[in-house]
Amino acid sequence: MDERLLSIFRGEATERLDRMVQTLLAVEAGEGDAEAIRELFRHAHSLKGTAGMVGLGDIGTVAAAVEDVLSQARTSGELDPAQAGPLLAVTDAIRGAMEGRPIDAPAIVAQLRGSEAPAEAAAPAPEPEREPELARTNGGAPAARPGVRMLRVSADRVDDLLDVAGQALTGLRQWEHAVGDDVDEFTRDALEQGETLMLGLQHAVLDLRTLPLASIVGRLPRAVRDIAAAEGKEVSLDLVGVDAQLDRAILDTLPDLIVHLLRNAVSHGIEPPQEREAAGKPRAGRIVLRAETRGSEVTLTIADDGRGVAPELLARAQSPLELADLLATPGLSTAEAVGDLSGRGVGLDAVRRDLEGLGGAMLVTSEPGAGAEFMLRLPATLAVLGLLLVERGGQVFGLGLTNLEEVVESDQIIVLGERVAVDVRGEAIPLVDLADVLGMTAPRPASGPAVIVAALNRRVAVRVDGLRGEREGIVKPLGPLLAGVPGYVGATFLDDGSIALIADGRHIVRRSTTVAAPVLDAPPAAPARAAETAPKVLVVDDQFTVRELQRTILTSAGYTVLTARDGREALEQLAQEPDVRLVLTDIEMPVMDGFALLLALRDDARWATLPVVVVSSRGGDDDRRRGADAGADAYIDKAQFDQRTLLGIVQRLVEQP
Amino acid sequence: MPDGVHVRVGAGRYAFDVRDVREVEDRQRVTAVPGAPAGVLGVCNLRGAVLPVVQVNELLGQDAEGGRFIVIADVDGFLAGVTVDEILGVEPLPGELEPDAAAGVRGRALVDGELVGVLDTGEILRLLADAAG
Repeated sequence: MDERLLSIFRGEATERLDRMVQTLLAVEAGEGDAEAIRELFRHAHSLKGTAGMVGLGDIGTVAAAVEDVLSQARTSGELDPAQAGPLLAVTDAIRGAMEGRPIDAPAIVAQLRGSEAPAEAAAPAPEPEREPELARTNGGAPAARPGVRMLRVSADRVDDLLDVAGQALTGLRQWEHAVGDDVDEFTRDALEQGETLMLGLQHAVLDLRTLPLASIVGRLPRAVRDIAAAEGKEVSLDLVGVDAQLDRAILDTLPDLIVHLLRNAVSHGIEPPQEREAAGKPRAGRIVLRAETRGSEVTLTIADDGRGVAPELLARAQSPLELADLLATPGLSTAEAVGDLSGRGVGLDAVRRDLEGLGGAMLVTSEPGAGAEFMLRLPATLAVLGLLLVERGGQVFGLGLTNLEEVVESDQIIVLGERVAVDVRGEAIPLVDLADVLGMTAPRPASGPAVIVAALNRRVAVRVDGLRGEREGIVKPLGPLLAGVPGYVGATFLDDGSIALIADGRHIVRRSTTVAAPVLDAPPAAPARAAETAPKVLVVDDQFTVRELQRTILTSAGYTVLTARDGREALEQLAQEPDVRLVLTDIEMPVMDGFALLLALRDDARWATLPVVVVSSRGGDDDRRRGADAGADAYIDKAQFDQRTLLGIVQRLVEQP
Repeated sequence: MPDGVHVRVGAGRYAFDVRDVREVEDRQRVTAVPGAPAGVLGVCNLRGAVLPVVQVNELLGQDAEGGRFIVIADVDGFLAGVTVDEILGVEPLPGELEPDAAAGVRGRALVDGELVGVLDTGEILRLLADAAG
């Protein structure tokens, strides 16, 4: 089958199916009028025709059966709301078939024939034999199975439910906190079981607030083809992992951002066909939009195989984040671009601003001549946020993890004239006191960590008294009375029932230029080792707190520390930093776990002898043996983690010949 | 006349219109909100909701005392806790009010030989919200 023709059909069919779903939901809610039926009929009719043309006979057969049902409704002038459910299920089955899943056309046709009769329509439709294949398999998505009625519920009511679920969980945790550890086993078990159930309830409700990314990107492949054709280019867009679930509120803003990036990729990234052929590339350009869920975060990457970012720009950025900063600098594209060569920054400042408004962040990587990759990190939901809890002035505050880069210790503080800054691998990052930024009065800490916050193209080190761990917190608005107070995105509850305010990263960065630099109580110490000679160590762990703990310990001992969130990121880091001398890795991580990382390293001649230390909470002998079998050089149990052991092992392995 | 929730703030006696009051609670642990306007003490956890807690003594020209209780005011779904020093009980609001220049007070009347300020809860919350920018 002609792939180009198929992709045209998919674009059109997705659009028609989207409209049918909207209309069917209205019908189900009792709002279907004669015009709605006519519209549904039109779409089913067109689907039947085009599906036949491109050789998708099964879809054609199913569409024809839908057309029959609607034809009768058109004559009578009304469609029974009870028929909407089965019809919705059919739209899902067609969508599935376009994505390559099997579709049982005869079963669907038989079922639709059955539900045509008004007498049977009121009764629950029979379960089709091959139901599992018809159901959408994307986790918590609205899986419209034949015979299952869909409910249309207002988003407010889902939020109310989320609120109550959150309250119940907070109440239970407060209770657990109040009874403490001094309880009998039965009570402890009952409380733990209660918490598990409550968390399950909360996640179930959160699922109701989310929709798959597929619901907004379905039309994009066609849009990309059209934009490209208008510019005399050939470009295809592939969608990968678009069943990733995102908050509805995020999905509302996202299409503009994605379309902007795709437009940039087509116009400035992908070369004209002749230029591509001259460079030994396929005539048609390819863009891949890939979504991946990592814990409470969804990573969206848009990668093209075009000419990439101009080398002179690449040379000015040390990291993917800095490259994003550079490209998103307003005016870059007009001031410094030479034609299309470096014009990837068109409007990127706006994209980045909207993204940060959603609590997200952008990273860019590129290889000249081979393409560019824009990575958007997004919270999966706005109702729950990954937070680092910090303490300042006796009060606990939350900082959104997507805005945080790392934690540094006070001994890296340097004074540059009037300004106080932190030295992070040679870069001076301005230091401010969280208390000053928020406008609270608290005694200056004698020492304490600083958290690097990145927002609005800038980085600021924020001094706090201490770290209080990492958690997922339900975000509550502060309400209209406090809505005008700048600096907070909301509040969350701690286990004892008290409230932690969640500071807004953008506010911190904005305020940092006007507040006084923190007074230093101790003269800054000289770094233990010069940065050039410091051995590089790569820390791999999906938990921010663990990464930062290890980084802090190793940095203060004079190592240069790189970090990665999972095995795959670790391999990417190693490819860029071949002089890493040791890897510290967790076992349980998303995407690629520690065992898989170890095997991949031992399989590659470049890393076969690179020392790897496994740091895991899975203290079992089995894991230790499995780690050793896979080629780990040492094993540290997180439960018995201590600074000296870690440094001892690292030093021994780094300094061995 | 609707009922009023009669309270003491500092040395003065005041009454909330009972229709503006959802409930009365013991003072909760309040988390300060740095940067909040004067009069807003912070936020507290009211059974899983984040509730702003305000202090009205300055507005009413009274000395600040302990603020042992929180009157949970609800004006058109706009919730806030107002700290008061004492709860005197629920009694009908006085019918005829003498005008009063103080902000947030609808008027005054004599009840049991004592001058009672009838509060305009909506105005109080509006004034505090305006101060918050």
